[in-house]
Amino acid sequence: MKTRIKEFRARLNLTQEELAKKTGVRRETIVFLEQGKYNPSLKLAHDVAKVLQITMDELFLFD
Amino acid sequence: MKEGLNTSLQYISNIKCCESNFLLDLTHFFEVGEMNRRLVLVVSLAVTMVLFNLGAAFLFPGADTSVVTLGVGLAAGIVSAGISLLFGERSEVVSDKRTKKIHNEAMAYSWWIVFIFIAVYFWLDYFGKTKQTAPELASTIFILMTVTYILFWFVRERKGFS
Repeated sequence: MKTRIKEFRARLNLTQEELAKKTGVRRETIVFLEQGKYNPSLKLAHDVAKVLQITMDELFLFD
Repeated sequence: MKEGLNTSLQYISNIKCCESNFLLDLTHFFEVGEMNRRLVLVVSLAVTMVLFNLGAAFLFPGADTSVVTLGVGLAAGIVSAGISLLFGERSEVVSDKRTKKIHNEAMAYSWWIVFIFIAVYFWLDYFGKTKQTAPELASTIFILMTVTYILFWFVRERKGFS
Protein backbone atom coordinates (compact mmCIF):
# COMPACT_ATOMS: atom_id res chain seq x y z
CA MET A 1 0.00 0.00 0.00
CA LYS A 2 1.26 3.47 -0.90
CA THR A 3 -0.04 6.77 0.35
CA ARG A 4 0.03 10.34 -0.91
CA ILE A 5 -0.24 11.83 2.56
CA LYS A 6 3.12 13.57 2.35
CA GLU A 7 2.21 15.20 -0.96
CA PHE A 8 -1.17 16.51 0.19
CA ARG A 9 0.21 17.48 3.58
CA ALA A 10 2.86 19.61 1.89
CA ARG A 11 0.19 21.31 -0.21
CA LEU A 12 -1.58 22.44 2.95
CA ASN A 13 1.72 23.35 4.65
CA LEU A 14 0.99 20.97 7.48
CA THR A 15 3.71 19.39 9.56
CA GLN A 16 3.52 15.77 10.66
CA GLU A 17 2.98 16.97 14.22
CA GLU A 18 0.06 19.19 13.19
CA LEU A 19 -1.57 16.42 11.16
CA ALA A 20 -1.09 14.04 14.08
CA LYS A 21 -2.71 16.51 16.46
CA LYS A 22 -5.68 17.06 14.14
CA THR A 23 -6.28 13.36 13.67
CA GLY A 24 -5.64 12.49 17.32
CA VAL A 25 -2.71 10.14 16.80
CA ARG A 26 0.99 10.19 17.60
CA ARG A 27 3.46 11.76 15.17
CA GLU A 28 5.20 8.41 14.71
CA THR A 29 1.93 6.95 13.41
CA ILE A 30 1.84 9.61 10.69
CA VAL A 31 5.49 8.83 9.85
CA PHE A 32 4.71 5.13 9.41
CA LEU A 33 1.53 5.94 7.48
CA GLU A 34 3.50 8.07 5.03
CA GLN A 35 6.04 5.29 4.62
CA GLY A 36 3.26 2.78 3.97
CA LYS A 37 4.40 0.75 6.96
CA TYR A 38 1.14 1.03 8.87
CA ASN A 39 -2.27 -0.15 7.77
CA PRO A 40 -4.65 2.40 9.33
CA SER A 41 -8.13 1.80 10.64
CA LEU A 42 -11.04 3.02 8.54
CA LYS A 43 -11.62 5.83 11.01
CA LEU A 44 -8.03 7.05 10.88
CA ALA A 45 -8.01 6.87 7.07
CA HIS A 46 -11.23 8.89 7.02
CA ASP A 47 -9.88 11.45 9.50
CA VAL A 48 -6.64 11.93 7.57
CA ALA A 49 -8.54 12.32 4.28
CA LYS A 50 -10.88 14.83 5.89
CA VAL A 51 -8.03 16.92 7.30
CA LEU A 52 -6.22 16.85 3.95
CA GLN A 53 -9.50 17.72 2.15
CA ILE A 54 -9.41 14.81 -0.28
CA THR A 55 -11.11 11.44 -0.67
CA MET A 56 -9.69 8.19 0.67
CA ASP A 57 -9.37 6.87 -2.91
CA GLU A 58 -6.99 9.69 -3.72
CA LEU A 59 -5.04 9.22 -0.53
CA PHE A 60 -4.30 5.50 -0.63
CA LEU A 61 -2.95 3.63 -3.62
CA PHE A 62 -3.33 -0.15 -3.78
CA ASP A 63 -1.35 -2.27 -6.24
CA MET B 1 -21.28 39.79 52.43
CA LYS B 2 -22.37 38.99 48.86
CA GLU B 3 -18.89 39.80 47.60
CA GLY B 4 -17.37 37.47 50.17
CA LEU B 5 -19.72 34.69 49.12
CA ASN B 6 -18.82 35.20 45.49
CA THR B 7 -15.13 35.05 46.36
CA SER B 8 -15.71 31.81 48.30
CA LEU B 9 -17.65 30.29 45.43
CA GLN B 10 -14.90 31.34 43.05
CA TYR B 11 -12.36 29.73 45.38
CA ILE B 12 -14.35 26.48 45.53
CA SER B 13 -14.80 26.39 41.76
CA ASN B 14 -11.04 26.94 41.37
CA ILE B 15 -10.38 24.00 43.70
CA LYS B 16 -12.81 21.83 41.74
CA CYS B 17 -11.20 22.91 38.51
CA CYS B 18 -7.73 22.03 39.78
CA GLU B 19 -8.90 18.72 41.23
CA SER B 20 -10.48 17.68 37.96
CA ASN B 21 -7.32 18.66 36.08
CA PHE B 22 -5.23 16.64 38.50
CA LEU B 23 -7.54 13.63 38.12
CA LEU B 24 -7.47 14.09 34.35
CA ASP B 25 -3.67 14.09 34.48
CA LEU B 26 -3.67 10.88 36.52
CA THR B 27 -6.17 9.23 34.17
CA HIS B 28 -4.07 10.35 31.24
CA PHE B 29 -0.94 8.91 32.79
CA PHE B 30 -2.33 5.54 33.81
CA GLU B 31 -4.64 4.82 30.84
CA VAL B 32 -3.55 6.68 27.75
CA GLY B 33 -0.33 8.27 28.98
CA GLU B 34 2.42 9.40 26.64
CA MET B 35 4.43 6.37 25.54
CA ASN B 36 7.85 7.95 26.15
CA ARG B 37 6.93 8.56 29.76
CA ARG B 38 5.79 4.97 30.18
CA LEU B 39 8.92 3.69 28.51
CA VAL B 40 11.13 5.78 30.80
CA LEU B 41 9.23 4.42 33.77
CA VAL B 42 9.40 0.78 32.71
CA VAL B 43 13.04 0.98 31.69
CA SER B 44 14.08 2.71 34.92
CA LEU B 45 12.15 0.12 36.93
CA ALA B 46 13.71 -2.77 35.02
CA VAL B 47 17.23 -1.34 35.25
CA THR B 48 16.83 -0.67 38.96
CA MET B 49 15.56 -4.19 39.58
CA VAL B 50 18.39 -5.76 37.62
CA LEU B 51 20.97 -3.62 39.43
CA PHE B 52 19.54 -4.47 42.84
CA ASN B 53 19.27 -8.11 41.86
CA LEU B 54 22.98 -8.05 41.16
CA GLY B 55 23.91 -5.95 44.16
CA ALA B 56 21.43 -7.08 46.84
CA ALA B 57 23.71 -9.81 48.13
CA PHE B 58 26.42 -7.21 48.83
CA LEU B 59 24.06 -4.52 50.12
CA PHE B 60 22.13 -6.77 52.51
CA PRO B 61 24.37 -9.66 53.56
CA GLY B 62 22.44 -12.53 55.13
CA ALA B 63 19.04 -11.45 53.85
CA ASP B 64 16.97 -13.38 51.30
CA THR B 65 18.21 -11.84 48.07
CA SER B 66 15.00 -12.38 46.10
CA VAL B 67 12.71 -10.89 48.72
CA VAL B 68 15.02 -7.90 49.08
CA THR B 69 15.11 -7.52 45.29
CA LEU B 70 11.34 -7.56 44.96
CA GLY B 71 10.87 -5.18 47.88
CA VAL B 72 13.49 -2.70 46.76
CA GLY B 73 12.39 -3.03 43.14
CA LEU B 74 8.81 -2.20 44.11
CA ALA B 75 10.00 0.82 46.09
CA ALA B 76 12.21 1.88 43.19
CA GLY B 77 9.20 1.58 40.88
CA ILE B 78 7.15 3.91 43.06
CA VAL B 79 10.05 6.40 43.21
CA SER B 80 10.47 6.15 39.41
CA ALA B 81 6.74 6.80 38.94
CA GLY B 82 6.99 9.87 41.16
CA ILE B 83 10.04 11.21 39.33
CA SER B 84 8.40 10.50 35.98
CA LEU B 85 5.24 12.34 37.03
CA LEU B 86 7.19 15.33 38.29
CA PHE B 87 9.89 15.69 35.65
CA GLY B 88 8.74 13.45 32.78
CA GLU B 89 8.22 14.76 29.28
CA ARG B 90 4.68 16.08 28.84
CA SER B 91 2.97 15.92 25.49
CA GLU B 92 -0.52 16.51 24.14
CA VAL B 93 -0.25 13.43 21.97
CA VAL B 94 -1.78 10.38 23.55
CA SER B 95 -1.36 6.73 22.68
CA ASP B 96 -3.34 5.68 19.65
CA LYS B 97 -4.64 2.45 18.15
CA ARG B 98 -1.22 1.55 16.74
CA THR B 99 0.58 1.89 20.08
CA LYS B 100 -2.21 -0.02 21.81
CA LYS B 101 -1.82 -2.86 19.30
CA ILE B 102 1.94 -2.84 19.87
CA HIS B 103 1.40 -2.92 23.62
CA ASN B 104 -1.02 -5.86 23.33
CA GLU B 105 1.30 -7.79 21.05
CA ALA B 106 4.31 -7.15 23.30
CA MET B 107 2.30 -8.31 26.30
CA ALA B 108 1.22 -11.48 24.47
CA TYR B 109 4.76 -12.28 23.32
CA SER B 110 6.28 -11.70 26.76
CA TRP B 111 3.56 -13.89 28.28
CA TRP B 112 4.43 -16.69 25.84
CA ILE B 113 8.13 -16.39 26.62
CA VAL B 114 7.37 -16.69 30.34
CA PHE B 115 5.03 -19.61 29.65
CA ILE B 116 7.79 -21.45 27.75
CA PHE B 117 10.28 -20.56 30.49
CA ILE B 118 7.99 -22.03 33.16
CA ALA B 119 7.42 -25.19 31.07
CA VAL B 120 11.19 -25.66 30.61
CA TYR B 121 11.81 -24.84 34.26
CA PHE B 122 9.25 -27.45 35.35
CA TRP B 123 11.15 -30.24 33.59
CA LEU B 124 14.52 -28.95 34.81
CA ASP B 125 13.14 -28.99 38.34
CA TYR B 126 11.59 -32.43 37.78
CA PHE B 127 14.97 -33.88 36.84
CA GLY B 128 16.67 -31.99 39.68
CA LYS B 129 18.77 -29.76 37.44
CA THR B 130 17.89 -26.50 39.24
CA LYS B 131 17.78 -25.36 42.85
CA GLN B 132 16.02 -21.98 42.74
CA THR B 133 13.71 -20.97 45.58
CA ALA B 134 10.17 -19.70 44.90
CA PRO B 135 11.03 -16.00 45.53
CA GLU B 136 14.07 -16.34 43.25
CA LEU B 137 11.90 -17.87 40.54
CA ALA B 138 9.27 -15.14 41.00
CA SER B 139 11.85 -12.36 40.60
CA THR B 140 13.35 -14.11 37.55
CA ILE B 141 9.90 -14.33 35.94
CA PHE B 142 9.18 -10.68 36.77
CA ILE B 143 12.43 -9.50 35.22
CA LEU B 144 12.03 -11.81 32.20
CA MET B 145 8.53 -10.51 31.54
CA THR B 146 9.58 -6.86 31.85
CA VAL B 147 12.66 -7.23 29.65
CA THR B 148 10.87 -9.24 26.92
CA TYR B 149 7.98 -6.75 26.92
CA ILE B 150 10.35 -3.82 26.39
CA LEU B 151 12.26 -5.75 23.73
CA PHE B 152 9.16 -6.73 21.73
CA TRP B 153 7.65 -3.26 22.15
CA PHE B 154 10.85 -1.64 20.87
CA VAL B 155 11.12 -3.96 17.84
CA ARG B 156 7.46 -3.52 16.82
CA GLU B 157 7.63 0.25 17.37
CA ARG B 158 10.65 0.49 15.03
CA LYS B 159 8.95 -1.61 12.33
CA GLY B 160 5.79 0.48 12.31
CA PHE B 161 3.28 -2.32 12.89
CA SER B 162 1.78 -2.87 9.44
